[in-house]
This record gives sequence, C-alpha cells and structure tokens, in this order.
Amino acid sequence: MSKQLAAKTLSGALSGTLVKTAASSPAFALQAFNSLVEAHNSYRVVREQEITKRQQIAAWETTQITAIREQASIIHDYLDKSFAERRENFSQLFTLLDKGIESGNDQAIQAALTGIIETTRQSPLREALAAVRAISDPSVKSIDI
Amino acid sequence: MPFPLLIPVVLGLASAALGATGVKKGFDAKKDFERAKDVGESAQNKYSRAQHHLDQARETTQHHLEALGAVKLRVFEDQIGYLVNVLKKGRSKISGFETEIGLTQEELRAFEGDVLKAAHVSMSLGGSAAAGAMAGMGAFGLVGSFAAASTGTAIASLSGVAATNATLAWLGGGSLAAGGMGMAAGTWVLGGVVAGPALAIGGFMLASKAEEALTEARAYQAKVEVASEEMKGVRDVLAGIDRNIEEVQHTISQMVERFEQIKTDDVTNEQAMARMVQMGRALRELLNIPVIDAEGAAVRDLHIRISGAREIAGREAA
Repeated sequence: MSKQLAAKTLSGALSGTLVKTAASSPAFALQAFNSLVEAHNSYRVVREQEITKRQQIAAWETTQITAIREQASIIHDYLDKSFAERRENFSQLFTLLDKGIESGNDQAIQAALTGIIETTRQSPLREALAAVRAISDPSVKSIDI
Repeated sequence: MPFPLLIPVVLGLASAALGATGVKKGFDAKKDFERAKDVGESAQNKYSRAQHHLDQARETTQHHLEALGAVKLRVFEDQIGYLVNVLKKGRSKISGFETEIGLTQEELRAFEGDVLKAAHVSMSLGGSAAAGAMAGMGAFGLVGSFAAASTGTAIASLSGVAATNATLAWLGGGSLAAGGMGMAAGTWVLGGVVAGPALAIGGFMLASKAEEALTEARAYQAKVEVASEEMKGVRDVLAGIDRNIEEVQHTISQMVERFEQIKTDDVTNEQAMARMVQMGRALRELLNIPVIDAEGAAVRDLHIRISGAREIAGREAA
C-alpha cells in the first residue's frame, strides 16, 4: 500500500471513529478537539521557529564561507607574487655571487651571501598570513600585494 | 438531529478534519526524517572526503620535508664535513690558523658539532623514527630540537562535527519517533480511550520533531561546509610550504655548486681558505633556517601537525 493511500485510509477510519465517539460522548469530543487544536498550534510554532533557525544557519554558512574564500584568495595571490619576486631576487643574488667569485671581490661575495640568507629567512607564508590579518584590521588603510 | 447532539457531532467532524491533518503530518514527518538523515549522511561523506584530501596534502608536505632533510644531511656531511676536515688540518699545521682566516674557536666548534650531529642522524637512519627525523631535519635543520616522530594528528576538535555519529544516530529517526510518539500517545491509550486522536496528536508531535531534525541536519551540514572550506585553506598553506621547501632545496643546491667551485685544501692559501670559510658559514646558516616557522604557519584556528616534524601551532582566527 502506498503511503498516500495508507494516510487516506487511516484518516477515513479516524474521521468515522471521531464522529461516532463524539456523538456518544460530547465531553470526550470537546477534550479531543481541544487537544488536537493544541497539538496543531504547538506544531505550527515549532515549524516557524525551525524555519527561522534554518534561515539563520544558511546566513551564517554564507558569511563564513565568503570570508574564508576571500582569505584563501588573498593568500593564494600573495604567495604567487611573493614566490615570483623571490625567484627573481635569488637569481640576481647568485649572479652577484658569481661575479664576486670571478673577480675575487670579497665584499660582493659577502653582500650576495647576506642577501641569500636574508631572503631565505623571510617566510612568504608568514607575510601572506600577515596580509590576511591586516585585512581584518580596520586601522589598516591599504595593503601592497 | 436534536441540537444538543449536534454540537458533539460538529466537534467530532472538526476534530476529524484536524485529525486527518495530524495523521498526514505524521506520514510527512517520516519523509522529513529521511531527508534529514540524507542531509546528515551526505555532509558526513563530504567531511570525510575533505579530510582525506587534507591528509594527502599533509603527506605530500611530509615527503617534501624528508627530501629536504636528506639534502641537508648530505651537505652537512659532505661540504661542511670537508670544511671541518681542512680546518682541522690547517689548525694542526699552522699556528694561529683560525685568526688568520677569520674564524673563531666557537665557530669551529659549532661546525664540528653540526658534522657530529649530522653523522648521528645518519647513523640512526633505518630506525622507525628515521622518516620523522629526516622531516625534522628538513623543517628545522640541526638547530633546535626536532620532536619525536608523532603519528600525526588531523584537524582537531571541530565543534559539532565530533558528535557526528551521535547526530546521525539521532537523525536515524527510529528511536526518536518511537519515543516522541509514545509519550504523547501514552496518556490516551492508557486512559482506555480510542487511539484515533492519539495518532493525530502523535502525527503533529512527530512532525515537530522532524522539523527539529531537519534543522539539526542543516546545522551539521553548514558546519561541514565551513570546515571543508577551512580545510581547503589549510591545503593552500601546505602547498605554500611545499613551494618554500622546493625553493630552499634549490637555493641549497646552488650554494653547494659555488662551494664546490671555491673549495680548497691548500691551508697555506689564507685568502682561499677565508673564502671557503665565508661560503661554508653561509651554507651552514642556510641549512639551519627553519622552513616552518616555530610559531606556526597555520591558518585560522586550525591546528596542523606534520608527523615526525613538529607541531605548527595555530593562532586565533584573524
């Protein structure tokens, strides 16, 4: 038996029973009616509350995901540019080092080595995360990426 | 029909109409419970997939760190080892050798210490903690302690999600439906009255519970969606760490190339010796620069742990 058919059959049987019972016992009819009205009202209140909660959940979800995606996009762009810039810097520093070695210029060698160490020490990730933090800071007016 | 009899009949008809709605709601509730269950299960599957992808990304980073660790170990043993051997030879042959080539006693001891530590790590390879030690070497070099190999922990304690199984069990509907219905219908049935109104009231109550179950499922789904997005963010950071590791590895190999060009064992050539020390000093410093910040390169409030390396502590959400 399908669900609709079962519901109809049950409802039909229920109507018959209720009408018969009401005719034989008016007090019970009133009690049953009141209980049904109360149950129906209670259900409507719960339904309204739950619909509101689900709308709030959807709004929270959208806000959170939008914020996370924005941050992810900033980190992604920042890292792309940062690594490209670093690649260029390293290339120049090693060129300087090679020239220093060829010409025996200790100062150039030292400058190149210091640059290589310092560039390596700078963490592109830390900078990317700092950019994300800065975006959340209302006192920061502009960010260079 | 006499008037006094009409009232209960009208009431009975009204009750019957409302009762039919209640019964229908009861049937609809079953569908809603099933929907809630589907939503919960689908969210659970999504969470598992996101976690799996994150685990894969973490493993990739772990392997990159191990590879970098192996490179660093080799450089400590080969290039820094070579430098230490030559310096020792010079010190034994020439008085005031260190001063002449601009090297302090402390520095020489530090070089020697690193070579010894590297030899120690090398000897311990093959043990169960080898991969962890190697990843630790990759992440931090020989400076600082590299923690004992851990089993690796995934994203920790996402509120709500941890209670997944309980939620799903709850969303199963069976026990809830039985319980909810039982309480409502109990008084009627026990009172020896007809089961009809009880069934209708039970239908309304079941429908209320189904609404609540739908909300619970939606809340769980939303948390999973947010958590999955955050996990993607962590994967982006791990990919950034991977790029950083590759960059450091490339820089080390470039430096090794230059060291090999200028290295010498002629201890009488002060200038050449001084240059080799200069290059070795920079190389050693490079090897000991941590790829992963000790304070952590984590995003938002998620904590990552790279197995065998060291915890990357998270920070508060930006």
